[in-house]
Amino acid sequence: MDKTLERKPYSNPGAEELTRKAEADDLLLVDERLRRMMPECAFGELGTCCVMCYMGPCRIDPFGQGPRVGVCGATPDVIVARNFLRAATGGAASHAGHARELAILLLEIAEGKAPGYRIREEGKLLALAGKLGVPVDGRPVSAVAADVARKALEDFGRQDGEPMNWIRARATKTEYAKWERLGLVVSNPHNEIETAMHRTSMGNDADPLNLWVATLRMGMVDNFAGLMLATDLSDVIFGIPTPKVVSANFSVVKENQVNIACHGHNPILASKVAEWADRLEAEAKAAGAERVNVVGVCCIGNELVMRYGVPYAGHEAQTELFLATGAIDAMVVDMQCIWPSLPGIAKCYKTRFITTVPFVRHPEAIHVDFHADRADERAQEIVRHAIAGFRDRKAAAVPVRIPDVSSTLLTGISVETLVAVLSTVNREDPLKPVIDAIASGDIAGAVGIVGCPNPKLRDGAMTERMAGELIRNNVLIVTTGCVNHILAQAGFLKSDATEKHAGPRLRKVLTAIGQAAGLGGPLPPVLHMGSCVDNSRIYDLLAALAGKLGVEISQLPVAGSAPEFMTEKAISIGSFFLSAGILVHLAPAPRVFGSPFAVSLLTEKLAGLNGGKALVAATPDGAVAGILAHIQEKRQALGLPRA
Amino acid sequence: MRRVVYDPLKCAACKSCEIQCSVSHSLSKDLLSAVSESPPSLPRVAVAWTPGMNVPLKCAHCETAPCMLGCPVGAIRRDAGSDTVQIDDSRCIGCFSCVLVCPYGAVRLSFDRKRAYKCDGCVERLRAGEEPACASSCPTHALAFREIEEVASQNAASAAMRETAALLRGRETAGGEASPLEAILRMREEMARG
Ligand code: SF4
Ligand code: SF4
Ligand code: SF4
Ligand code: SF4
Repeated sequence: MDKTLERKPYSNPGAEELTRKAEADDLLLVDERLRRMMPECAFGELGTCCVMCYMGPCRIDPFGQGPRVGVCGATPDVIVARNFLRAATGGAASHAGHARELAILLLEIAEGKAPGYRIREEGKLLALAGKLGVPVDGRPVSAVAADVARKALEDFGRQDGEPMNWIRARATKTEYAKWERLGLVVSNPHNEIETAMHRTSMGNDADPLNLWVATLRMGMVDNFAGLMLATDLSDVIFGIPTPKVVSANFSVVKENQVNIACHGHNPILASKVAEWADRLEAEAKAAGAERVNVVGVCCIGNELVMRYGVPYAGHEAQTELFLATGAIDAMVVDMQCIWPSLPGIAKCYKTRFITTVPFVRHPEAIHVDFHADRADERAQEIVRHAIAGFRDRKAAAVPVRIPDVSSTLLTGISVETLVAVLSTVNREDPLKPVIDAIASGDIAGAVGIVGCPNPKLRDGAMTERMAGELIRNNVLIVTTGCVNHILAQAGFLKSDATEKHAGPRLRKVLTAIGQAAGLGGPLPPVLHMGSCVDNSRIYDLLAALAGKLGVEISQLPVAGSAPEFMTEKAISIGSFFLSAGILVHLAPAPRVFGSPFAVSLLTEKLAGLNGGKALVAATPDGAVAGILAHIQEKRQALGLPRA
Repeated sequence: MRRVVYDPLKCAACKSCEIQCSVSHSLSKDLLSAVSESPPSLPRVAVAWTPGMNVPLKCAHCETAPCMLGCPVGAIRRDAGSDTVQIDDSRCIGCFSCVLVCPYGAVRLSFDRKRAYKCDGCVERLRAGEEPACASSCPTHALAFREIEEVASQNAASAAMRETAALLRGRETAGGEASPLEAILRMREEMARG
């Protein structure tokens, strides 16, 4: 590593090194593109720019002298609510699409049309079938799987207005009753998405409250038709994650191996690529490589590390830097968060950039149409592209620079795993030690830190600082999504983070659990629960804890934070957590500040209805102060001592 | 001598300059809080419009300032240090003579209509070593903080080029290579003609 690089606390030295290399290679990377974009349009930031019809674009002057309504008469409250609902719809549509692909895959497996895949988790399938009312006794697994898949697909086509199967099967009684009372139980994700687009198009819904209720419903779509369905079915097909220690950061890329970076979200493709990477080792050797090395970036990194322990490369905002190492032979992507900048950068280093989904393409990419029925064939084709890419790289003597930075993380913490770990402490009642620790204040509360890194907040190390401060205050952290890469690279996902960062009371609990579970050290203070769709695991965990305590989720001393969010998916996930009555911290500021109605609803009024509340804070200190205050408030309401 | 200069052909009317001027003259200096301040902070630059052109108008801090000459009570003075024309709020009697005589329409009526206000040249920012807010926020550089002598000579050169090009093209406006912005501006011109 270049010793002359000056380091800010928490900054990744590898990222700095590669940024300078890319500059020398004359590449325009995200930080520079962002700098050139500033300042960004303030109307957009406030949410008061409307482009929904061609009388506009309309922009509302927030200082009150210019236009106060759109050409059509829409007020800023209406414009903001419509824009926000559309963002939530974009996110929910992404998650529903992800989940629907898995439902179709499960049906294909059951019908023998996807020979490359099998059902790895019969237990979870049968349990799911039980909850969905699918008969299991004496029936072959494939018949049960087909029925479960049909139950899922029925949800996407339901026109009778009845509640989604998945909500009925997977929501707890308490929460279900609450959602029913608030009118948030949805029937069919596609209908909700259609209605949201319809009601926000020119000249429909002009009632801000009605629009915000639709946003909360979109949150329900996101969780039950998207996240939860996807996690459930992924576990059935690809296995329930189990604990493992895996290496992370730039040094997972190996100069003399065929490096394939998998990028995107849905494990359908990447799991196959990982499988064929091993099976084609001989061909890689023939090309002069040691082996084929699959590494995961972005959320596919989370999917692959949780189940298969595939090296955990880096987050979405580092994908360009991984290409800039010059050592990636193929970057293969499925969907979501694939920056259009990537194929151009790949080209500079002779990296083959491979798209695989019909609606995610790029004129400079190689397209390999991936379908489950010919998965093995296609995965081989992709791995062979990478091997050929390796040959090209060596023949052209592309200069390679892999920063010598590495870290490890403990991963694979599904709810099932956590319960298994905890049952080493208390076999009869695994959740009891956690509940007791929360009750006594040894664990003050828990925060789910989730979402993406946003280059706008990377300079301030928003995520690392928040995590450090929360842990110091004895708050346990669970995480999903790309912020995990940040926390893993900063060393928060391993035992010694507990010793280094945790407050004394939290350290005591984690050490006890770690010892009982035979981890050879404390449990890390940050628990890796998976990809962004695995927020459903966090919800499941909260539901289990609330159930044990006999309270609503909204009463727990917990909060969710997307400290550096950037996608619409974070908006829809956040909307669900608001529906569930949880405090949601967001940074950067969501685009609602142009609407006094939205601000008062999200920061005050909603809390009175269902407990949900938005906290906007763009500095780590502000965010931590707000979250800690909330946790103490909830503790007090439950009659627990201050922690 | 540095001034905020403008190039109306570049202005996309995104109004970032207005927003940032308001923000930098607000109490909090932060967009999200500034929008809820009362009274609201007012922008001192305004994007005026005529078919075919957007003009971000603000005080030019004229050497022989008509507003200063016209003010009956001497409320308008030149601040020697920053070479800007300033309205002394406490002396303004609200006669609005300055509004009437300003050739740029740069002087406006305050919220309660009791005082005149206008661009103060962002003196506070200048003292802090920063550029005026409007110029530094303009994404297309339609507004820019530049040496006025340099601008004068550049403008002369580009005027010469324009004239020559127009003569060569037989006074036709630019054809195929028009920028998207020029295309929009031309469309607006057509629309205004009916
Ligand atoms: S829908 Fe209304 S506010 Fe939106 S662009 Fe059209 S006229 Fe303007
Ligand atoms: S002067 Fe600049 S900020 Fe103002 S409208 Fe034009 S481009 Fe936008
Ligand atoms: S309105 Fe105020 S600033 Fe204008 S001329 Fe009168 S006194 Fe002067
Ligand atoms: S110079 Fe400053 S005060 Fe004057 S218009 Fe620009 S931003 Fe406003």
